[in-house]
Amino acid sequence: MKTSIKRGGSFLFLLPAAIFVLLAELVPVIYTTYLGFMEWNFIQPPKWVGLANYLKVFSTPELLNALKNTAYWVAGTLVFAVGFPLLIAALLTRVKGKVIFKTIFFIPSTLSPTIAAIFWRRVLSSQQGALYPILEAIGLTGQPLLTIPQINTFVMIGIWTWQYFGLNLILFLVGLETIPKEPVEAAMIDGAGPVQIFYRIILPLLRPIMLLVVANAVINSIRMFDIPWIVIQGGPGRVSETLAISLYRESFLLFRMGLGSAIAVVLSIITLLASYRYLAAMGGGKKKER
Amino acid sequence: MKIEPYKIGIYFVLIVLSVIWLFPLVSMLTMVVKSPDEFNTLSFWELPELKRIPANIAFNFGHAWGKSKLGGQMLNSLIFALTAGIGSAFIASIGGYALVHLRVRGAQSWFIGIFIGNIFPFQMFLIPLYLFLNILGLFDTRLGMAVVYVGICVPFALFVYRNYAFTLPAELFDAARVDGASKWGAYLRIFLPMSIPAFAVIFCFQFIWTWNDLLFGLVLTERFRPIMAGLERLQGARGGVPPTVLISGAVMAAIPTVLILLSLQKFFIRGFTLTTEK
Repeated sequence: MKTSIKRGGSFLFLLPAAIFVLLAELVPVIYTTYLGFMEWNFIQPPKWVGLANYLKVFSTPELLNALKNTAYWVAGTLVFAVGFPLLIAALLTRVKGKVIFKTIFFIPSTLSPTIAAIFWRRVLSSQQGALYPILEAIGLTGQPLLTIPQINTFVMIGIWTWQYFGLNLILFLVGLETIPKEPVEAAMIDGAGPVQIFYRIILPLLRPIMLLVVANAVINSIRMFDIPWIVIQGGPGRVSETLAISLYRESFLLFRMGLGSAIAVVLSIITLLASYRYLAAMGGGKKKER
Repeated sequence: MKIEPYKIGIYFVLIVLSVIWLFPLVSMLTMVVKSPDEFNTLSFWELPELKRIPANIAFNFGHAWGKSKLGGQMLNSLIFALTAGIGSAFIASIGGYALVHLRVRGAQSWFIGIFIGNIFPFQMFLIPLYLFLNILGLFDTRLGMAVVYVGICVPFALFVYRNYAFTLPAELFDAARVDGASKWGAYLRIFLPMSIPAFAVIFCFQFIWTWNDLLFGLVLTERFRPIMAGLERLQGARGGVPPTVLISGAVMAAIPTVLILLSLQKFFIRGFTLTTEK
């Protein structure tokens, strides 16, 4: 009897965490889902509109464009901020001076995306930008890259790569260092080439780090807001908007809270689908129970 | 000594990349050392007279800190980041302790229920948090901001703390119990001191995350803007500050995270990989 009372009191230790999560996350999730079915501009009372907001998300040209841009961000991040650092990490293990290069590449990762965007905006500016005099000297002048529709999303993915690359590079280097030498050596003796060794032996052994890096890259790029917002507010016009920027604009600048909420729900569903396996691995966690 | 040709190729690639990587940083440093007038009259890569540089740096940073109000906004961010870092690490420490070393009924359900907060993008919370803070009268207050940041940080903090708690042997706590220690006593004397590494990792992660946050700072406050939201306003069309001041402000805002991450790089990466271990 006494032990059960003791045991029963233990949940008090979890209560603060539960209360914070309930109020800051769980109730908001339910409320946002509810608002997604409403039309609401803050002034008139919310009005039930069913799936109208969701139909708008998938039929308004600006929002379809934001969906497309978000897909570019995810794909671009996976290629340039995940695949590329993996390649460079593999190269770095073969040469001297690893620490110097690693540090150079890591410096931008210590900056926030906001600061990275402010820096690059100046670098690429056509009025007193850092790159412009150099481009001019070699005869390359034209419209500033950040204002060209369609192109500017890719330039901004480049900025993001600059900022994000170093962190993933270091994580891959940690992963590569922990790979045992024996299987690699055995494969070399058996006459396997470097490409084969990479795909057949190194990549499978890197799986845990890979899962972490890819999942974080997907989660961070799906909700990309800071860089396109700081650089050009999703412009010119709305052409470089991501879903996260559309959400902000619809909710807090145009006061369409219902539509903004529907975008948030779509964003959540895409994130959950994309990171389902990673989250399952994280949430499942330890099987060891006391 | 013979260098194999493929290695020359690798070095070539690495050096080209390094130049691209350092280019923006170096170009920003050339701006910090110029006065706004010199920036307008000189070409981008021309440097001012050497003896004018200290005064220029002082002007740019002074203007960014004072007249452009970034100093106060950095103070706001410091308050939010310290609260979020310490608050979420503490809340997660008692939670992680209970999940692993106290026999809580339905420990797994508690964990999933809290961790689930981590799986949604932050945008999902934004509109309701804006409304809740308004209803509670906490909109546009430091307290409201700090509470939101702690709340956002808790699920991930608990995840890391729980993983770490599994590495502490259960026997320690059983022994303390036999010696008559209470739950709080065992927490304060054994669990907390032994889990300082987890506490520190969480603190660093959440400090940096909060410091770097832009979105919540834009939406949930006007008067107590954190630093990234402050920079956003400053660089916008209505910002109206000289470019050298804006860049100096951005450099200033980067100092805390650059220092933390470069000095604790190994520790930080260890923390990151802690999340993959099973």
